Amino acid sequence: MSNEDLEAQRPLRPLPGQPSEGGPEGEPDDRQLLQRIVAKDKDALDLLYTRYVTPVYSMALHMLKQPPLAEEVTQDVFLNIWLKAASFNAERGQPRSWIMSVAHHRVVDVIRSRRRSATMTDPEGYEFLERLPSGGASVESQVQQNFDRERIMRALATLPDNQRQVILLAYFEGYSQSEMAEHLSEPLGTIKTRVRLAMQKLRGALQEYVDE
Amino acid sequence: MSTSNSTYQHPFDLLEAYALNALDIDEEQAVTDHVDWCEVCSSIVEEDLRVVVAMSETTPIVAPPERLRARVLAPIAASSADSQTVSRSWPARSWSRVTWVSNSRVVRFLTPVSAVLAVVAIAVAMMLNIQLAGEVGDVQSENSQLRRQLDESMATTTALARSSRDMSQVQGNLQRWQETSYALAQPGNQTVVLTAARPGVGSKGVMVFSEDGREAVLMASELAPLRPDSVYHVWLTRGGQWYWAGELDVDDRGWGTLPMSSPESLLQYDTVQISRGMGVAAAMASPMGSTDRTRTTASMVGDMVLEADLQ
Repeated sequence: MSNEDLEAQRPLRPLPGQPSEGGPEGEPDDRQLLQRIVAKDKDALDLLYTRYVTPVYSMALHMLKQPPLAEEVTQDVFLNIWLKAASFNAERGQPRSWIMSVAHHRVVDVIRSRRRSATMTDPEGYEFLERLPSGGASVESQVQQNFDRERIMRALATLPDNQRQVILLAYFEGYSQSEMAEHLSEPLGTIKTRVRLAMQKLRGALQEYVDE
Repeated sequence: MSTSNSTYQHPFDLLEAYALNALDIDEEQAVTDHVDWCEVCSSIVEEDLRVVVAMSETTPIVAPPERLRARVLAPIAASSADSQTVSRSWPARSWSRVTWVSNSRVVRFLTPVSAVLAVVAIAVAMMLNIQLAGEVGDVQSENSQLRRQLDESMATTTALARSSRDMSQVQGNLQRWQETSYALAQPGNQTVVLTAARPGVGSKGVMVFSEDGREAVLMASELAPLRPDSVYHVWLTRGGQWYWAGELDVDDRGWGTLPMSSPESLLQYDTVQISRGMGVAAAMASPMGSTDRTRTTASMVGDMVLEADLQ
């Protein structure tokens, strides 16, 4: 897969002059694709897959650490999109928010399920500490992402330690608020307050970024 | 659809956690039910979702395997074909059932015959039951054997998956090696040597910049082995600010290479530095972190290993 292919598959950072939810010139935008998927148009799903498989798979792999699991989750996500595209309300939200939210939700489901059964699992099969493979992504996309990452990390760095901690535990490790309360030995109300304040601050700090 | 309801309590205190997928199932269902009709809350959730989506950009981009497309799309195409088959065959079944019940003469004739057949069927079933009881033991034994075979197959599948992953890593390393070699072969390149940050350390490094400075390849050798929770970070500094440029993957021999590119010249930075420390996410989550940007960054930097001035 070429560098250009990978960049084209990354819909989270629209190119200047393009609609934020649109595909390449002459191709239907994401909303139109979702409408066609509701009507069971397989070509539309094929196109949506091309646009979103890289961010969905990358997130799943980063959080789950195991390629077979990441592939399974990616399959689930697109099957869900195929079956439940009608539940996307175009008047309320952005397709990419909906798709990535569906993907994150599924990954968190898997993480929680594995955490619950972790005590029953063979330790040799427990690969959370395994290093991620770095191959496959283009040099430019990796470096560009490093700059994006720096920007987001800067926003995270503005948070107080305890607020940043709950955001990272929730987003990357799939902890629910009650699980975090138990894990951190803190009252549930305290955790809820931290999550709420952290998200509000991030929303403000990232406003420029998400509005681009 | 309602935009406001003075008698209804909006779940404002749960919306951020809802977008973050951090609610327990019962709370999540309650918020979903509410957000489905409440425009006020759904607009807040949408704003939070955009933040959550932005956070997904902190994950490294990894190209999915080519085979995944077929794995994802083929079953969907098949299920689509199945659903069409069902929708065609269903009316035929309904029609045949209606015809059967409406033929009352046939029903009256068959009723006593059915009773006799039922008695015979019961007797046959009892005999079969005795015979089947004897066969259950055989089936259980066969089942145990099949389970053993299944376990062996699972082990083989796992080994194949690991081999496939190793192959992907090799291909990725080969691609990086090719790109690095190509960059190094360009005329007009500029070279900067990195030296050990502390005396007595044998690590070395060199950074080759393209003519316009917008692309560079950092190479280091004789780096010390890492603990499992540590990585080598590459930093660029300018005006006292630290900018994280990536992780340096180091092999068993202590060699590592990191290609970099930027819209602006990398030579505009003051220094390049390599440090040994925690992974970025771990460092961010660490209680050693701080609200102060500089101190937080410093806690992430870890032990300095190599450095060079770029000016």
